[in-house]
Amino acid sequence: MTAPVLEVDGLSKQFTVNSGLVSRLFGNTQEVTAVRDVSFEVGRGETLALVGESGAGKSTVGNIITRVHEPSSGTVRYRGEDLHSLTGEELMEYRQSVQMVFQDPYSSLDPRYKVGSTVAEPLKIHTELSKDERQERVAELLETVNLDPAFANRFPHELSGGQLQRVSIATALSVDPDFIILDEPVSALDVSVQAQILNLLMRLQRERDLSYLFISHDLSVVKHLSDRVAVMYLGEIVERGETAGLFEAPVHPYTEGLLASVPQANPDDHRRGQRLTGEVPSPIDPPSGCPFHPRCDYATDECTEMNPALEDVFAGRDAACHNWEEVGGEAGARPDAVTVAEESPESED
Amino acid sequence: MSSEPRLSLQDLEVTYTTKHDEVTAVDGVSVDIQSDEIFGVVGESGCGKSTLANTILRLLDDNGEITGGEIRYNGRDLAEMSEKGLSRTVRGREISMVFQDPNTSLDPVYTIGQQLTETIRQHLDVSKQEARERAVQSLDDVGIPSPADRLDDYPHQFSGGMRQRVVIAIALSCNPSLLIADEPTTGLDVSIQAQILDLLKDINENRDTSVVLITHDLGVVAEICDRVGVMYAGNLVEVSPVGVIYNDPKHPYTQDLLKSIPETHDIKEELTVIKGSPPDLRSPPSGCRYHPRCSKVCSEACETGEMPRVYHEGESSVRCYIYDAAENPEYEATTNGTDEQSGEQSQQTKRGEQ
Repeated sequence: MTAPVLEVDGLSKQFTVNSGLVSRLFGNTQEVTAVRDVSFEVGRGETLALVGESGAGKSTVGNIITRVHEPSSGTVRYRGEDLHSLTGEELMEYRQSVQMVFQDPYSSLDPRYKVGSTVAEPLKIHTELSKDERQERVAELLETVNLDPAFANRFPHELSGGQLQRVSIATALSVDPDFIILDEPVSALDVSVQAQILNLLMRLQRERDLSYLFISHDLSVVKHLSDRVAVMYLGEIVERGETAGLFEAPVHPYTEGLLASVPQANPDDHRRGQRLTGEVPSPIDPPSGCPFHPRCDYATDECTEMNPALEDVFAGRDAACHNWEEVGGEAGARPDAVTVAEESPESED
Repeated sequence: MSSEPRLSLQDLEVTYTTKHDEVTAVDGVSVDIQSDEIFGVVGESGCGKSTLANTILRLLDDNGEITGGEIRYNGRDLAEMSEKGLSRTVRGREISMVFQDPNTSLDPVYTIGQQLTETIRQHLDVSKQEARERAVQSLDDVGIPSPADRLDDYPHQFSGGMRQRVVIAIALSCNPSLLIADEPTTGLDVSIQAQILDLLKDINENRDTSVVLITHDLGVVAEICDRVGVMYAGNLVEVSPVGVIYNDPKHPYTQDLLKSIPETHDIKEELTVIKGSPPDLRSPPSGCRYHPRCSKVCSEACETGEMPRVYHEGESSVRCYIYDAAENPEYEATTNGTDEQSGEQSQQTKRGEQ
C-alpha cells in the first residue's frame, strides 16, 4: 500500500441520550458509545469498505471524518495533518479535498435548486470561476457522469433515482477531490441502475486515482468494489483485511455469520458456516466482555469477561477474537489453509 | 402441475387513472400459484409487482381498477366478489398479506395482543380466552421468545426484526392457505433478513401455506423460492423454476438482469449494464416493451408488433419472439433438441394459433 492519505487512530465517539432539560436536572442522562477505538488507514487510489449492520457505527465514522461530529477521543489525520487542528484556509482546502455522497439522492439534493445550481454550488465556494466558466464546468461534469448536459436546467423531481445519484457524484467531483466518502451510494437503486453507478465509481477511481471510504451493508457490492474491508460491530472494528481473503476465509465469528447470512444469487450455492442468531444488542447497555459473545457460537468464559483487542492474527489480517483460530472449522483460516477451504466449501464439520 | 393450482391469475389487467392519463400497471398477467410452493415475483421499481400483489386481495388505491381478467381462488373469482364477502372470508382469513415496513403495518396505540386477537375474532368464532391462547401460539410459531409475556407489549417495545415477526404472526393467525409477502425483508439487516426468510420457508414447508414473495432482490429469490416470475413494465415476461432462472434464463431481460449483479463478475470487473431505463408506462413502447433495451431483438415484430404471447419452453413460460419459429428463423437451430421437445413445441404453436 502507498503512503496512507487518511489515517484514523483510536477514534471514539460518545453521544448523550436523554439530554433534555428534565433528564439533565434529574441526572437521568445516559452515554451511548457509537464508535469505540476505531483505527484504519486509506491509501491513495484505494477503496476501504466499512461494513456492518445498522447501529454498527459506520456512518458515525464517516460523519467524524467530514467533521459533522467531533470525536470524543482519537485522531483523524489527512495527508499527515490532524484534522481537528485545521482552521481557516487549511480547513477550506480539506473540505474541498474530501467529498461525500449519501444514500438517498432524493433527500441529499435541494428540490428547489436546478441540477446545474447544485453542481455549481461547491465551485462558487471553492473556486474563483466566473458564472460562464462555472456553467461550462457543470456541463463537463455532467458528461463525466454520463448525463446529458441539458439536465443542468432540470429540477431534481424530473430525474430518476439513478440520474439523481449521478448528479450527487458530479457535485462531489466538481472541486476535484482526492477522497470521497460513499455512504451507501447504491442502496436505494434498482439492480440495473446500481450496476451503472458502480461502473461509474470504478471508472472515476481509475481515471482520477481517487480514494474511497465505502460505507455499506451490501456485502456483494463491497466484495466487488473494495480493496480492503473493515467489519464493524457495535462501534468496534472486529475484523480487517484484504477483501478477497476476508470473504474467502473470515476469522471473526461475526464476519463468518454475516457472510453466511447474505442471500446468494445462485440457488445451487448453499451458504456455508454458521448464520447469525439473535439481534444486535442495544448500544446503551452493551454486553460485558466481547460485545459479540451473546450471539457467538465460539464464546468461552474468557469472552464474557474480557473484550479482545484488535490484533494482527496473520499477515494482512487483524481480528478481535479470543478464539479466532477455531473459526471456520478444521481448515482454519490461516493463509496456508485458504486453498483447502476453497476446495472443500463444506469444511464446516 | 398435477393438482389444482391454489391461485390462478388469468389475463389480469390493472389500470390506474390519473388526471391526465391512464396507466396500465399490470398488463395481461397469467400465472398459476401451486399449493405447495414459494413463488417469487421479481422486477425493478415501477414494474408492477406490488400492484400485482395488492390486486390479488383487491387492495388497490382508489384510482386503480381491475380492467380485465380473473383471479381464480377456490372456485371463485376474487375480481368479481363483493367487497363484504372478500373482507369476511378471504382477506386475512384465507389469503393474508405481509408488507414491507412493519412500523406502518402495526398500530402503535394497540398492544400486539389486541391486534392479534382482533384478527382472530374477526374471522374465527372463538371466545376472548381462546383468541388469546391462539395469539400466544401464533407468536410462538414465528419464534418470539416468551410469547405470553409479550402479548401486552406495544409495537415500539419490539425491535425491527421482531416487529416483522409479529406482522407475520398476525398474517398466520387464521391459518391462511396463501401468504403474500411484499418485500418483507427490505430495510432489515442481513442477519435478520436471513432469519425471516428461514421463517417463511418453514411456514411453507410445515403449514400447507403457499407463499407469493414480491422482491427486487435476486439473492432473496434464489434463497427460498421454488418458481420465479420476472416482471418488466407491467408484463410477466418469464416464469421459470428457480434453477432455470439462474442457470439458463430464457427471457433476454432476465439474462441481462442477472448479468448486471456483482456476483456474476470478477472483483473490480466492469459490470454489464442494461442500456437505457425502464419505460414510462403512460406511453409504453410499441411491440415488446423491452425491445428498446434488448440486446437480442430478433424480428420486426419485436419493434412494431404486439407484446409477444406466452411461449412454453421446457418448464418455462416466456414472452419473447425469440421462441417464435415464425418470427425468429434461427429458433429451430437454437433449440433443436429431442423429439419430445419439438413435439411439445408444435403442440404449443397449435394452441397459440387457436
